Amino acid sequence: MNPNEKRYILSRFSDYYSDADFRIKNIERREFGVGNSKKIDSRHLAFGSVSEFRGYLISNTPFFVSHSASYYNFPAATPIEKKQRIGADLIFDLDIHADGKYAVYSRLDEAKQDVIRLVEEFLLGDFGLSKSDILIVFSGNRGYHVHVTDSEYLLLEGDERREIVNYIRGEGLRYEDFFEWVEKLYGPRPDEGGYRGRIARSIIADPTRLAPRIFADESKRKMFIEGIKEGDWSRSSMKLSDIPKKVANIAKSLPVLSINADAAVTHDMSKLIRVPNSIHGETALVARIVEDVDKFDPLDDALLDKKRQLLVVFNEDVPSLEIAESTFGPYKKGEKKELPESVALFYILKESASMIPA
Amino acid sequence: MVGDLNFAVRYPFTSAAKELLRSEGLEAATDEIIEMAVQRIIDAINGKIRKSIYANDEEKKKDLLAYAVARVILGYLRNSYLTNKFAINESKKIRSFLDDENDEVVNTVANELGISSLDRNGQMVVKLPIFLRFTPRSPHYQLTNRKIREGFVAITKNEKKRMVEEAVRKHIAKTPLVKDPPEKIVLAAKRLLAELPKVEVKRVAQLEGSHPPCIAELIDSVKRHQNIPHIARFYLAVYFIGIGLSDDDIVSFFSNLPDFNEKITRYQVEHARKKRYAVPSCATVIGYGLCRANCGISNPLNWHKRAKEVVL
Repeated sequence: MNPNEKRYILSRFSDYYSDADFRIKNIERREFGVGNSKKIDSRHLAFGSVSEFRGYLISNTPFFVSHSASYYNFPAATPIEKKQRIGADLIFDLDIHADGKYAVYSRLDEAKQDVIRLVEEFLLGDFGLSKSDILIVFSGNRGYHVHVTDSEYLLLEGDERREIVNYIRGEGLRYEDFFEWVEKLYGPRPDEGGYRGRIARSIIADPTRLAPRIFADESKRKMFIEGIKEGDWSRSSMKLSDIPKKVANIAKSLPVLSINADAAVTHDMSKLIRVPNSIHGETALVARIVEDVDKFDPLDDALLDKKRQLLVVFNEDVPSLEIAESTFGPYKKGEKKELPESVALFYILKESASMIPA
Repeated sequence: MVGDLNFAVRYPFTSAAKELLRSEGLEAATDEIIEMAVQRIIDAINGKIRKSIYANDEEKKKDLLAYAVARVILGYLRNSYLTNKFAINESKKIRSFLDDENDEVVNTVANELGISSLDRNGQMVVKLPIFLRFTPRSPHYQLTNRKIREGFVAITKNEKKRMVEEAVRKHIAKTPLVKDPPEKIVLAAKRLLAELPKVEVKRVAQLEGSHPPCIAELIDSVKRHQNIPHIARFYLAVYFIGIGLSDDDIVSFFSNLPDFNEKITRYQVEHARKKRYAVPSCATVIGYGLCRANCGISNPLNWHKRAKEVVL
């Protein structure tokens, strides 16, 4: 990226920020950080209101902007102990890892499906949270952030947050322990909470995964399912002692494994998280607040500006990609192309293309 | 019943107790009461749980005041070792009181600490965030092993008492800062410090090297005199045995723990060595909830091997 490109890109970011939709809860209690060469070059910033924050972004436009999960009495104070934490949102980071620069963008739906499971099964289901306390945000690159703002969760400490991540990732789960022999094989019922109910519902939905041939027969399938509803897993001709192990194998898909357990976003409350509806400076995609997760398509809904066009030249080969219901590429090194501006900025920031001055 | 002095003297952190204290005031802290407060802290250092027997209400009031004065002393000293010791000892004492109480009293104390439970079809449940805040992080309390439903976790009566104990410990460990206590209390605090055996971080030479992040974090906690769960102590002990530390060194290191008991620690370390318990694999450490990074080493002992390879 040369200085001209940089200037151009930041001016487009600045335009976006002039009427971006910010909904930062308790903005005056958050610490902010901005970055240009890195994701965060300087932190300990604080803003009294959205308009003050907006003003800053318009005149000092950064490539990245993030805010603390924590709420502080003195968000700008240093060192961190002097900020006096009041509480912190519970934040989950889900992302996709793939080899190569572009492979991840055709797999973003996997992360979305995990977000849906995280929210439906765990946050709304097991944890009994209400929708209004959950904010789903596209990260602007390879996944999603889920913010939980429920007041009862604000006070959790790092270890307690880590325990939640362990639970959602199913760490230490032993499905075999869900079963018990008392003349019959007893196990979890579909109406139970947590992993017990989840595994029972999953088996009921398709018992053929346990024994394809036996449960091809509808009456056998029904009898088995009726049993499970009462916690009795014995009503089949399967070798019953095989059931717990087979169930454990099927259950591997129940935890949400794309939740990042290492990145410390969840348990380290001094970390900053991308501001929802700000721009990700490696992609020019908006870290968009997701209203309807089922319909959300990041490579369409998170695009910056769909109207303008920009002329670029590719400086490396780029595979084809579905963006906003059209196919872009593959492009060859040296190829010149006029692209929608948001798509052009994406390739420039990925360092695959350069602007051709008009 | 709950408002009375017997209740307050057992549960001196409750609002009922505070109410009584407010009417007495710190000015009532005579030399005798200050001496009782100092003794109460010394008892905590020695892990001695002393349940007083009172001849009359006057003695109960004195005991209650002594608790308040002890907290003022700790708030003035800001010594995390002393405060943690005191918090653990007081919470254990309260636990032993709770074990003899009826449900009503247990519930009153629990509610006071924000641990309110509900009855769902004959099963006691608490809200999930409350469960997380007031249970120790040990396999027994892992969420994956729990019945969870719509934001509530099932618990037993005993587990509820354990949660109260933990809540009391946390409450007392967060002693507010006291800047300018009365002169008498300052003097008592100084005297207490002078009487103490030098409390310092016991260092063990071999521990200065490089350890996997999970171990490094535990070592750091112990050095700061923080309480760590039993499973973490077990893990540390077998790890130390694994890297070749002597029993003496291990026991000496554990003496930094706020509830250290030399006899028990030595017995357990010797037992672990005799039984040749293996250092748990990373998968098991994840199960303990102690894993801190994806090091890709499969067993914590491999950290050393890898560290050496990197150097070469």
